[in-house]
Amino acid sequence: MTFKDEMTPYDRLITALDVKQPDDRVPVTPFNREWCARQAGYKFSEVMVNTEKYVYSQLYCAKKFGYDMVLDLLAVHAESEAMGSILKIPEDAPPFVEKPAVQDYKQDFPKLKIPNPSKDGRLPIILRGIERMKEACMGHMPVMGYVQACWRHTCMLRGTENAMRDIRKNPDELKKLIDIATESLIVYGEAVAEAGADLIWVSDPTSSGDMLSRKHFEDFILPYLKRQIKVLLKTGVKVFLHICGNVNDRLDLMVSTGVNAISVDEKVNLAHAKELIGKQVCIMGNISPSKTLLSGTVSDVENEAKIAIDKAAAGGGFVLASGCITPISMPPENVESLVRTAKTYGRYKK
Amino acid sequence: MVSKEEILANLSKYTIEGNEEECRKWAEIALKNNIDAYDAIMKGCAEGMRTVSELYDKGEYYVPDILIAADAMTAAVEILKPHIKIDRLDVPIVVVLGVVEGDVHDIGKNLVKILLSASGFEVTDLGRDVPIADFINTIKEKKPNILGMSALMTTTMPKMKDIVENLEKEGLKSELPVIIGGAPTSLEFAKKIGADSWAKDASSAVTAIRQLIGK
Repeated sequence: MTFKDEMTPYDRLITALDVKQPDDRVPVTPFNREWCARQAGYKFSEVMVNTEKYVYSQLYCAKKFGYDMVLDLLAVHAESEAMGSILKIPEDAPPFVEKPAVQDYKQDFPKLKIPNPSKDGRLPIILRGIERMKEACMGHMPVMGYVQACWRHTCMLRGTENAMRDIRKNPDELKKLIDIATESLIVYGEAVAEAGADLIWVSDPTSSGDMLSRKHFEDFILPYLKRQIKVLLKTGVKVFLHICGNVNDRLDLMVSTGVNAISVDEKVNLAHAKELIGKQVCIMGNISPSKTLLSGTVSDVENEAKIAIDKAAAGGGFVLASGCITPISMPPENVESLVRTAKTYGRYKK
Repeated sequence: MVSKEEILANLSKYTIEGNEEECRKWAEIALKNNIDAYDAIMKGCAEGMRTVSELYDKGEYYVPDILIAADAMTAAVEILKPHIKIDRLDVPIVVVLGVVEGDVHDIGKNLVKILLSASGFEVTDLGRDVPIADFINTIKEKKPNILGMSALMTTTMPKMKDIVENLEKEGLKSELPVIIGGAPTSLEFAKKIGADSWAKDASSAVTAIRQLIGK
């Protein structure tokens, strides 16, 4: 049986992000981006250039499927593009960096400038999208903005492999690059907050324990990430930090950035995370985008969602989310199953 | 005169440390001392790279360390490779590798390539962001013994299914074992799309490929 929601999606999500228990149920926020574009009948390359189409795809899916958040045009490397990295944009798939801005430190580093968010690259398109969603949602539905984590931006400016090599070969130059990357994200992040984002996703697919040691993370990432997040929080938005992969050994460091929530994928055991950091921050996660949401059945999704709720929902401070961005061809009935499970099994008892 | 053992040990040691300069130096020393180039690669550098994989599995090494080690090994291999005696290799096993279209994450694929080349495989690397047609055309042309492909994103991994389907349509699949890899993939996914094998990382990819061809 289903229950009637008592809170607005905005109040429900913000309550969970405050590490409190919503009045009615666990909030549910699959990270749907290209999936929404496809559901609304657009190619991804269309929504990359057309704010109205992107906004429509977000509003359409959130309303139709009943989940608790809309997302800006996230994770398209726009911050790095605005600083000179060249993107390749496939017709119906997310873009990627084809030519990083900093091939050679001596030659390219001095050319880097901190972008003007209202002018450079496609940053204005994304900000306009946030404004439009904020107007359309009228405080009922929370609007999520996205800002790369400083290390992600660095990798998209330098090329991931080269940035990884620099950790051992050019640490001093690398730190200068992370520094300007961080500054540029602070400027852009403030613009995202000003455009009306209620919460900001700071995301990094390349700093987990699968790739970097805890020591690398402490030396090359954490100080900059702290600076970036501190300024974002000052604008009054909620901030959640996502790092793809196995972050079991650095959950404490992630929390030390001061964020409101930590978002994790299936490589983190939610029970472990809840016990370790669940009193300090909200936990978001961790339904597998590929194994479950893309390839699983409706009941696979239901089972995994129930397990996640059992492990982490008690007492609030939990958001049922996908472990990362969801695939374009995810079956819609799996999203329905995820939302239905949050609305039934995720109900908080009075 | 430097002993063969010392030369191999140093090639291995400096690969593990990621010291390109020393790797180049010891590759030259190996040639000067008439050490067989193939032995220098396989028992020196590749041995070191095997230790690097073990250190990664144990959580002592991370991606930056692997990349630096791979660079050092490549530096030595470049010097040694022209001196490999052709008749030392029996019939070469040809492997075609590529990262699927829309995906530019090729660190893992590059490691597989280095390890395979060092193990004596003949690798045709299509690179990253490879369209389906390029995979098919290369397979028709090179007639490889193995196809290896990878994707690092949940958004691009379905492309691997399309490639297997295209191979079937062209009648190429029955003769060609396919192995896949990449962080979001799994053995279940591999089976589901009709691939023959799956590897969780670069070092197990080499083992899995050996198993596929029965060597």
